[in-house]
Amino acid sequence: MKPYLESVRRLSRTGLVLFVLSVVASIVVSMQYCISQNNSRLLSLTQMFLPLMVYTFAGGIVMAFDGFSFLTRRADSDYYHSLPIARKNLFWAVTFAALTWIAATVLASSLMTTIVFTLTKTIFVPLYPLVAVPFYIVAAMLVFAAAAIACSLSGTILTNLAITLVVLFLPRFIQFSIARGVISKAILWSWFDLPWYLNPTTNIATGQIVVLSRVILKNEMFQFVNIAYSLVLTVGELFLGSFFFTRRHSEVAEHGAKNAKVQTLFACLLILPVVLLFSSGVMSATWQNILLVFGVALGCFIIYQTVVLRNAKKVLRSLPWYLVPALLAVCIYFGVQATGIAVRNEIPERSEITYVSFPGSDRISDTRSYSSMQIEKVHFTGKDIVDYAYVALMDNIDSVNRYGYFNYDVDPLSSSYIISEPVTFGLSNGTTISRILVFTNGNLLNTMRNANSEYYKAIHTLPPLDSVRTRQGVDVFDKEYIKSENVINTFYQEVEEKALIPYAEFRQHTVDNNYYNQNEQQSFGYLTYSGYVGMVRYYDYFEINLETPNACSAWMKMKNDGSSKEYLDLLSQICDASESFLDTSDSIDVTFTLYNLPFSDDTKQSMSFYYSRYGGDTSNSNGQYVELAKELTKLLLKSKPTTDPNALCIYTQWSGRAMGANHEYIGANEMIYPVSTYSEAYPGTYGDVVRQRRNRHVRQPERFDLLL
Amino acid sequence: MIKARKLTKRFGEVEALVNLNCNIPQGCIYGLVGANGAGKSTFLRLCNGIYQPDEGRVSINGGEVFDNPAVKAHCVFVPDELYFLPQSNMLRMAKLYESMYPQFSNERFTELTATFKLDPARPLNTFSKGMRRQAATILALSAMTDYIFFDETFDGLDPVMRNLVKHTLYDDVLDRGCTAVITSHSLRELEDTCDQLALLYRGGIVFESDVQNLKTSLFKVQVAFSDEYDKSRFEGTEILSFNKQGSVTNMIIRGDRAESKERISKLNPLLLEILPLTLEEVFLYEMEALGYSFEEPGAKGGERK
Repeated sequence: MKPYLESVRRLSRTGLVLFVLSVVASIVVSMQYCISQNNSRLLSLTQMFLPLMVYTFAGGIVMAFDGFSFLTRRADSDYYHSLPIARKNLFWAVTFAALTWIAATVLASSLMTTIVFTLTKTIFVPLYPLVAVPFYIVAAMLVFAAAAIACSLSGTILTNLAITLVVLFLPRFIQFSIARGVISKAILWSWFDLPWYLNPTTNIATGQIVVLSRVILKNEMFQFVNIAYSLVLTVGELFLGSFFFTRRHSEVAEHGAKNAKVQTLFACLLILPVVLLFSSGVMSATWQNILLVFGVALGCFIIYQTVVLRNAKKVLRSLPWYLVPALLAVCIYFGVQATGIAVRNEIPERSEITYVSFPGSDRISDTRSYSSMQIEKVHFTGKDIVDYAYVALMDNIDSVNRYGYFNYDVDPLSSSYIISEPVTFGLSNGTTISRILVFTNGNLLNTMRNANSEYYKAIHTLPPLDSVRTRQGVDVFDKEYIKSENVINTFYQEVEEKALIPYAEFRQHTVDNNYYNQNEQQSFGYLTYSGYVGMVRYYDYFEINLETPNACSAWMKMKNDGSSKEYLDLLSQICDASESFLDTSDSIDVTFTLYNLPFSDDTKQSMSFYYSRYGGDTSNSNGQYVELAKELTKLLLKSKPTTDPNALCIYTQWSGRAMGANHEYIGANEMIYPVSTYSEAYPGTYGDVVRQRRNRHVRQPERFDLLL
Repeated sequence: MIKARKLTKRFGEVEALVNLNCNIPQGCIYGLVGANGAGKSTFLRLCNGIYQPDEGRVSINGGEVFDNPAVKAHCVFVPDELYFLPQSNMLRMAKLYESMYPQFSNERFTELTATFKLDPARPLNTFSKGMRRQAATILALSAMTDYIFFDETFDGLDPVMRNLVKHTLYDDVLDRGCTAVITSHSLRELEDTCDQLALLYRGGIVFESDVQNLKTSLFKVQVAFSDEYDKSRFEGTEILSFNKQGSVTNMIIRGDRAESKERISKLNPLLLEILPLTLEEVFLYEMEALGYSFEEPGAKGGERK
């Protein structure tokens, strides 16, 4: 216990500095986000605890380097090795002391972040802090373990750092290169389909670096299994560090390695990532690239050896060892190519397949669709769908083998509805095979999937209302949140009553519904909201069209209710002035969307007219539309607000400002945000002006008006 | 008791200690003398379990030292290059010692800091070289171990402090019966400090003896004869150095002083005078006799002719 407490004391300076930095950074970063205007989205765990990601590496390495700093000076090393404490115990005393500081820092930082989010009423996934604490402690300790191994093997800060990087990143870099190479060769594979030993997120420390370039794996990383695996890896590496530490010779202090042979081994390991570039598929294997890469690697090898050995003869003698990583890279390259082809052509026997499932093509997104999360759980065991997926698998493989990509022929019956979906084949032996397949007839696939009751339920079920944290970009703590309540409730009710499929991607695609602006397809707006289920965040948007007229009506009411004043008179004046703007800063932007326009084919359609001009426009490109805009504006002046989505109505959005004849501006001197306004049957303008600093334009509240 | 048997330690191609054997009894002050690179510091480091022997063994009270906390709890080491925690003071260092040495005495620490007039709260990096050595000595003595190892202990200490350290050490040896092993180049310091002295050469102990014996076993003889003579006239006498100038010869002889005097007297010399040697002279002559050349200042252990 005493050596442990002594180590805690010894690490207190570094520990405290990092503790304060991390806590302060957590507070500052959280505050910055929480008090910013645009904070109405559910942050990912990484974004919420960003300073802890930095701490993972800084904390892990600095604590190890400080804890084992006595190993880099001969006098210090001798002193510590003279103390009456077993080497093993000394190692673990330092390790547990570092763990204490790391745990305290992560805990305090997470706590402060959570407090800031809670006090400022900023939405977050409540499970995140609970996951963040073990996650970042394990990640930092994993980095610490790598640095501890390096410190136990080497005796200078420079070589300690180099070996830390080798221990921490080299195995993962090799793994990443192989995974990337196999994926790029197999084509039908994705990062989600990798076996666990090739999955870069299993190591949660290096995984954080990987997801910077492979964002699709961001959510994957925080899974419990990865934390557990990394914990096991940490413990294993710490035992390895303890093993090296107990066998370390005190005289290694101030020396890069025990001898020149070990030094050469380090040099070989350090250049391995360079020569592995081909394996990952990042570089094509042309002669120029091969010469370039192997030349650069050789240069690095010679420079490193010259710096550490400081003896030209020894450097020359070590040169043949350069061939070892070079040959290894060549072997890995051919291995990766062969594996990629083998993976691509791996086809299970049809009789082996017991089910297929669809993890969802949005699994690569930061946030998923709620329906995808439900569909992912469904196992399709029907013969038809399994056969269809199996045939698609063989077709895809055949095409990729022939052309290098999926060169499909359009199925005339599919209405050109081609979809690409990740598919998992469940085999009778309990294993699974996952591939990304292109289905040439998406409608057929959807029909087959519809036969499954769980799937049917999944595509008809909207996210539970109590899990929703934002609506229309407004979070649950915002007073504006309540405004869309009626729309969402009405929409939910209508979807349920009419058994509609609210998710557009799961509807049958027909030639008819390509005309999105006809009859019931006329779109009034989009309902957007996000929330979370457990650890997974979802984001969904639903079109509000005439299939749900009550929701449309509620939508129109919400839009019009949002504004208490309108400016149609100003719009009219600016429209008139736009015929010949007096000032170069004058401008107008207006969109008129007309609904339920009767067409000769007995359809009712929506049409939009967009008119935009600005003072400095010498080309007068939109000049011919001014008369139409003026006419529509006049029409608007005679109209009255409405909430009837089946009526012939017009939805107007505009912004602009113009200089009048008396050299006074028509329109406010201040910018006006679009405020949802709804009024009863007044053609005039009135408005609740929200001001902004920029002194430019007037923006008219959006409104629906009944055309009289 | 410290026992070393066939103790060998190599650093790459350099053999620092080769087949070293020695016994250091309990309750004495044992001095280790040797030229640069003779292996003194290496021996102390092996005794403290810092290094692992390549061959042979070193034991304290019968137990192997390397990575053996039970044995190491009886030993404290004050190296030539001192270690202190960064930005620490003596109080902080005392906490470190207290956490490692079960017998550490805070009373003793307080008493010694008062005796040495050191401020325990003052940062150690503001101490002079000598003060730092005093601080390290105080901390080591406060550990109350049975064995204390000092490497170049008196380096940097002023004469007053040297005496203070020596007397504190005597007290410890007498009161607690502890054993002190000291290396130093200052033979004069060891002469009046140590009970036993060992001479290290080429990684091995050439001889070890109690100081009094060592000083009497080697002596200088000045002799002159009326007739011509050479070294052969003194057959049967172990002569380490023979320097004849005219009829007068100065010799360094190893052996019994009375016996040697009697033997030479029988040769009827015109002049016969027996002179005592300082310990430093004894050391130099022993080393010369072993072939160590002082003409080669660059020569190091393991490289001598």
